Amino acid sequence: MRNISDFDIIESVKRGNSADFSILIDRYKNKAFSLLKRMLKNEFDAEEVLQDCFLKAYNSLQGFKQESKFSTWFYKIVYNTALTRLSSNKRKIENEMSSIDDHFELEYKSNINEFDNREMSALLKKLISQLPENHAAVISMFYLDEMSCEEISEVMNISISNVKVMLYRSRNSLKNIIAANNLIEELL
Amino acid sequence: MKYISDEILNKYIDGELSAEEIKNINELLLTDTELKKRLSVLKRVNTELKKIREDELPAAFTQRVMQRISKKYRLPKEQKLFITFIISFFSVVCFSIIGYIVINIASEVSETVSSGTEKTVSKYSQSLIQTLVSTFSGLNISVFGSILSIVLLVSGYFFFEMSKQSKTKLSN
Repeated sequence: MRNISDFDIIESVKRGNSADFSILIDRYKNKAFSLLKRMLKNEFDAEEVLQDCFLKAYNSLQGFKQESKFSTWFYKIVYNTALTRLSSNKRKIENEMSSIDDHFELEYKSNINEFDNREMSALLKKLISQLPENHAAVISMFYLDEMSCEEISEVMNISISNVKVMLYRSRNSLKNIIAANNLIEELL
Repeated sequence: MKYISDEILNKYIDGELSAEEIKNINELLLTDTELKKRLSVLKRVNTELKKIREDELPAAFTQRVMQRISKKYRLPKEQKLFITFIISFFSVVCFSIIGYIVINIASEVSETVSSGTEKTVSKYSQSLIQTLVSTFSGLNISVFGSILSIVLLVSGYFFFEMSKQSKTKLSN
């Protein structure tokens, strides 16, 4: 199953083998769920939205022209559906420029003794969950889905340079919070 | 001493600087301990971010989505079959009525014409008329009317449900 390309699966589904769509679900569900969880900050909402995303993808599959990768096309659906959900929850959605200009501060109060028993990755995971939705989305797509900045820019409909700015800003804010809590020595 | 921003350090980590810029930073790193520390932390953050694992959904998730897909796309298929059945039924009824009228006219014509072929046609027409008259007369016509009414009511209900569902889909 792992060797079958997305292209072959899509062609099979288009021919009427709708059961083959489950292979695509299994292939992308966890990564898309991770992205949604970080954007929506809510596990229940993330699962519900992801179900809708797969339904939308199935519904639009006949119109998928294979001009881009299925993953890029699908993440576009996921990202836009997440934004719609956030909007319906009356959350503030920033547009491209305002999101770039937006300054956010991460907060993490800890003491050194607490950190001694804490995995660094667990701390970072906690801090990522505090990032604004679009920054969390960039981090998730870049590191978890190993997508290029070009692909992320296509998904988010923003320029590549803005993707990089968001990526750097996220890394810097994580670095700053570590520095602010005097955790650098432990980190190095 | 020239200040190297975090953005440049990030580009350094991602290998997006020119050979000359990399050389300059490498030289600074030999003497600037603060820069070295900042770079180390950023590198570590980058390394740790690469280690983040994806969140896992239960296997039942796939099943749930597939159930929703089959439920959503099976319903219109059934409705299509139902509509085909209704249209076929009404077509048969219409053709029967038209046939009845045509045969009636033919039988009237046959009374005035006395050629051999037309007599044969007239003979068959007469028997068909009798069959149709016996089918649509007396109690049979009431039964036929009742069935037709039920079919009309059921199809009306389904059409109403379909338009309601379409409106819901559009509003979503």
